[in-house]
Amino acid sequence: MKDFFNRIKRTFLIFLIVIGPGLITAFADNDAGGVATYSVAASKYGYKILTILIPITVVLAVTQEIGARIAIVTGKGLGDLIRERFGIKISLFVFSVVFIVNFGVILQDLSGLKGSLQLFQLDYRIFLPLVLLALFFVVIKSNYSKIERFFLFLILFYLTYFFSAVMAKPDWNLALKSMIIPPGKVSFDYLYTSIAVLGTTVTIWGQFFINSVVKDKKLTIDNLKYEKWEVYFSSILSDIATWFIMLAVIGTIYKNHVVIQGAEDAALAIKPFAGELAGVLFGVGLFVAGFLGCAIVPLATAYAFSEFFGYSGSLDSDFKKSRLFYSLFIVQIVIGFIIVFQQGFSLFKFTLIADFVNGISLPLIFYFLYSLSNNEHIMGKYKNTKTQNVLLVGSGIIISLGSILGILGKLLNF
Amino acid sequence: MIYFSEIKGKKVVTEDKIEVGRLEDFIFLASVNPKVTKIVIRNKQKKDLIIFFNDIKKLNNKITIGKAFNTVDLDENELYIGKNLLDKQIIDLVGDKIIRVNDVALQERTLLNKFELYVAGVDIGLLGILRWLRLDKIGLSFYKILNIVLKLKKGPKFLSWADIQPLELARGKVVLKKEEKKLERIRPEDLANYLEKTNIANVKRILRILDEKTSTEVIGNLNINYQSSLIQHFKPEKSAKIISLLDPVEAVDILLVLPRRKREQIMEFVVKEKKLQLEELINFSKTAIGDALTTEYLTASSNMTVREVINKIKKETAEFYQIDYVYILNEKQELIGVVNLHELIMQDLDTQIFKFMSHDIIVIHLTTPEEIAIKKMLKYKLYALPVIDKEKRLLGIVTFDNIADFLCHKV
Repeated sequence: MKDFFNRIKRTFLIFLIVIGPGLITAFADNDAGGVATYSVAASKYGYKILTILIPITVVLAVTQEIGARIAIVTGKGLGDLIRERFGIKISLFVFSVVFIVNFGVILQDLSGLKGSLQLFQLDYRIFLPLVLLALFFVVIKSNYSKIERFFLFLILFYLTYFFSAVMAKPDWNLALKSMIIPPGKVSFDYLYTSIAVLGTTVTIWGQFFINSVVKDKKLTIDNLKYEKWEVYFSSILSDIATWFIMLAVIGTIYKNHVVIQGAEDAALAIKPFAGELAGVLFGVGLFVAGFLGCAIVPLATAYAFSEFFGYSGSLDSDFKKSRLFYSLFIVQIVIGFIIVFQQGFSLFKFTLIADFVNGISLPLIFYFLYSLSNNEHIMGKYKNTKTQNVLLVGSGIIISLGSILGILGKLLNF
Repeated sequence: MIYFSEIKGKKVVTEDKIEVGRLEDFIFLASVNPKVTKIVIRNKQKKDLIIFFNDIKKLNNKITIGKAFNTVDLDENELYIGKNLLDKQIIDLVGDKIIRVNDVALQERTLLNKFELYVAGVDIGLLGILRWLRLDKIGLSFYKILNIVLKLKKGPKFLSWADIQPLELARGKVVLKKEEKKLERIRPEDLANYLEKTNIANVKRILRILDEKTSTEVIGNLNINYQSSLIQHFKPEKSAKIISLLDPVEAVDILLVLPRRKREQIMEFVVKEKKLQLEELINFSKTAIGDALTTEYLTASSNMTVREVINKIKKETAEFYQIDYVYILNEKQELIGVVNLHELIMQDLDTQIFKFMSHDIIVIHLTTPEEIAIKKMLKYKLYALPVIDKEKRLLGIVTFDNIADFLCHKV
C-alpha cells in the first residue's frame, strides 16, 4: 500500500515537471479571439453549440499530442522538419500561411485587449501601449522557465469564467446533456459557427507552438509518456473552460435573446442578468485571454520563422543572440497595435476571413503532421498508432468539408 | 561556379536521346576533397537510380550520359548534397544556430580533359532562397539599388566548404569550424584562394602553422605575385626549400620574377641536382617570351552575358588571325578568368560569364622563357597563354603559332 502511494507521488511529481507546454498552448487557444467566437456562438445557438465540445477536445488532444511527440523524439520543431523534409519552396509557402493566419489572430487578441480595457473605463490610448510594453519586457527579459511560470499563473485567471458561469445560473442538467445529445436539425450557419469554434480552438499556430515550446523546455524521451497525459489533461481542462465561457453567455444573453457581436458586448450584456460582478469577472478573463494570446501567437510566428530559416530563436537566449526572433515578435505586435489603435477598426468582417483561412489551412498542417509522424526515419518506434491516424485524417477531412460547406452556405445566404 | 538549385531537376538523357529521368541529387565525398562522385536520377516511376558522375558526357541545358551506364550504390564516406547538406541547420562550435543552408555552390575543374565538380561551399544568403524561385536576378538588382542608396555592402553570403566539419555532416549536423588549427584540412587550392584575399602578414602567419608539405602545396597554388612576394619575405633557406619542392617549370617562373641578387641567394641553398636543373632552365630566359607577344586577344568583364560577349567577338575580332579564348577581367583590370569558344557557344545566351568561366588560369610572364611557355602549353593542352605583369594585368598573349618557330628550330 505504501508502495502504491509512493508510485502515485512519483508520477505526480514527474507530471509537475512536464506540465507547461500543453497547458499553455491549450489555454492560449482560448485567447481573446476564442472568447469572442465562443460568446457569439453561444449567444446564437445556446445549449446546442455544446455538442461540438467533445469532438473538438478529441481533435485538439490528438493533434497536440502528435506535435509534442514529434518535438520530443526529434528535438526539432515543426518548421525545422518541414524545411528539412520538404525543401525551401514549400517552407516559404507554409511560413507565409502561418504568418498571415497568425497576424489575423494577433489582431483579434489586440482588439480583445483594447475592448477589455474599455470595459473598465481605462483609456486604451494610454493603457494599451503600457500593457504591451510590459509584455515585451516579460518576454525578452526572462528565460523559458520564468515565462512558463508567468503563463501558468495567468491561466489561473480563467477561473473567473467559472464564477461568471455559476452566477449566470444556466440549466446545469441541460448543459451536461447537450454535450452528448446531438442538436437535431443542423443549418449551414450552425456548421459555419461550429467550424469557427473549432478553428479558434485547434489552430495552426498551436501546432507550431506546442512543438517549439516542448523543444525549448528540453523534454527528453523519458518524459514522453507523461507529456502525452499532460497534453490530454490540458485539452480537457481548456475545453472545460470553454464550456464555462459558453454557459456564462447561455445563462444570460442567449436566455434573454440579446444579439452580441463580440466578447466586450458579452461582458456588458451579462451584467444586467447575472450582476455587476459576473460581468467584471468575464471582463478580467477577457483581458487575460487577450494578454496570453498577444504573447503566444507572435511568439509562435517567431519560432516558426527561426525554425524555417535557421536563425537562433529561443526564449532562453538573450536579445543579442536571437535578435531576429525577438524583433519579429515585437514587429508583429507593433503593426497590429497601429491597426487596432484606429478608432473605427471593425473586427467583425475581418474575424470571418481570418477564421476561414485558419480553417482551410488546418488540413494542410495536418498533412505535415501525418507525414512526419508516420515517417519511420524520423519517429522510429514512436510512430503514430492506427487510431491516431484515423482520428487525424478523419478530422482533417471533416474540417476541410465543413469549412468549405460552411463558407459556401454563408456566402449564399448573404 | 554553378549552384545546385540550377542543376536540380534538369532532364537526364542518354547519348542516343533516350530520356532517363530528372536529376534528383548529387553524391559527394565528405572529405577535405569534396568531389562529386555520383549522381541520383529520379525516373518517371519515381525510382532513384545512382550512377557514376564520370558517366556524364555533357552538362548544359540537359545532362547527357553515356549509353552504357551502370547503377551503383552509396559508398562509405559519401553523402548526398540534397539530402544531407541542403536545407540543413548550420551551427557553430558551441552549438548555437546560425542559419540554414539555402543552396550549395559547386566548382568545376577540368583536369586533363576530365570534367569534375567539387562542393565549393554553401550559400547562406537571401539570394540562395530567391534562386530556387528563379528570382535571384531581381534580388541582385535590389541589392545593387540598396547598396547605392544606403551605402550598404550587401551581396551573396557564402560559406566555404573549408569552414564545415565533414565528420559532423555524416551525423546530420552542419557544424562550423572556426579555429585556425584546422586549416590544414582544407584543400591547398582553397586555402590559396582564401589567402589571396588577405594580406601578406596574415598569409605568413597561417603558413607558419602548416607543415612543410602542405605549405608548399598551398604556395604552389597561389598566384605568382603572392608567390614571389612570399619568397621575398621568407629567409633564403626557407625559400629554397619551397622552390625545390615546386614543379621546376613553376619554380623557374617564380625565380625569374625575383631580382637577380635575391635569386642567387636562394639558389645557394638549393641542393645540387635540383640546382643544375633549375639553372639550365633559367638560361633559357635569354630567349624570353617578349618577342613572341601578340595583342590580338579579346577581353570581357565577368558580368557580361554570353550574348554580349559573342556580339563583342563579332565586332572586335574581324581582323584577327585567330581567336581561341576570351579573357575575363575584373574592374581593376586584373585577369580573373578565361573561357574557350566552345564553352561559350554551349551556354545559354543569357548566362553570365562568371557562372562558367574557369578560374584556374595558366599564365606566364615577360620573363618566362619560351621553353617553359611551350612546356606549359603542352602540359595543359592550351593553344594560347596570357602574359601578365605583377599586378595581374594582361599584357598580351602568346599563341602556339607564335612560338612554333622556336619549336621547329629545336627539332
